[in-house]
Amino acid sequence: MSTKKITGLTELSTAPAVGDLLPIVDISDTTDASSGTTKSIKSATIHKAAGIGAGNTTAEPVKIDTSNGRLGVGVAAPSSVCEIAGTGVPFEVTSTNSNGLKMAFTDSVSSTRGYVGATSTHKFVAADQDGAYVFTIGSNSAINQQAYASYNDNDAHDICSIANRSGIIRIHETAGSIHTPYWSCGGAGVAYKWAMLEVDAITLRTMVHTSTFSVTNPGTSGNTYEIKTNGGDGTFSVERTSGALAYTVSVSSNWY
Amino acid sequence: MAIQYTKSITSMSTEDEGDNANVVKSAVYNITATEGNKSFTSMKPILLGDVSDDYASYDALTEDVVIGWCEAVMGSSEVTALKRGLEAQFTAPITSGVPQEKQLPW
Repeated sequence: MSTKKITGLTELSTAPAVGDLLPIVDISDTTDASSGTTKSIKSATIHKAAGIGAGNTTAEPVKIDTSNGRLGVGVAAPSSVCEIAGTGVPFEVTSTNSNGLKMAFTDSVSSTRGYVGATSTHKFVAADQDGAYVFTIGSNSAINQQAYASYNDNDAHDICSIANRSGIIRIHETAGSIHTPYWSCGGAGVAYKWAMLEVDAITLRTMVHTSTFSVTNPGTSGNTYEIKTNGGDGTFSVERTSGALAYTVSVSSNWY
Repeated sequence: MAIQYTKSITSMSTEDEGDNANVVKSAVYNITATEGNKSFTSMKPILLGDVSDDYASYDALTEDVVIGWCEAVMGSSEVTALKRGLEAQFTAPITSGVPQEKQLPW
């Protein structure tokens, strides 16, 4: 048996072969001493303690296939650079970053990166390389939801600016939903202009600074609302003018 | 159990104005009402207008500062109205109006 110290041995500077051996004290086996029995272990076996091995078992959920450079979790033979398999939701990404972006996608040029993620108010977001949202899914499956607010009074509420935007305003109450499509006609300041569909009368409205129209939900005890557009900052407001049902206003924008 | 309110900012849009870089022109204001394991959120994008005397560099901003800007623009009556609107959902939830697709149980 060698009497050399480990520091005096020749270093194996390449990756060990699967069958290369290391000494190990098996503390579960007290045959030789109460503190354990010295044994040998193959280098590949050591990784099993960290769960790296077969790839498709509970004890060894990770597979690293050095023959093709692939990583698998929950799969014995990963078919791509990284494959994750399992039941239920096998893959989840969590980040506490407040911008909601969780994953980046890029080609070989890092500046052409895109992001996806989710926030407390958007179930899905896609963002450009600057982190600006370009597509979202909000409450009640609203596409590109710009605003969502709940009210239960008879005051006029500025919801948001829809200047140079097109989309749908959804006013929802227990008696049903009123969907008001709107289309930008351009303009600026007090000259902002839109077309809006007054859906209960099937009337196309021209909306400019301080234009208004009313719309009534025909459902049981349905509310009546006044929708008003404002020049300057391009906001619009919603006011419950009759009825007593609480309501929500959802604005989906950037529908070109 | 009393309703608890939390406020947050989920995004901001900026422009450069003169010597001032990344001036925040709008911010998305969120207010969430929570009671027990139920919560409801209202979300509004707020136009913040021109640079004021309290201009601060973008990197020095805090969420509380921007929340304060948004509430100053909206006014306290609108913040109260948002709270009352959220409260109404606890007593009479406004359902989506259509059946919601649900994850399959198998």
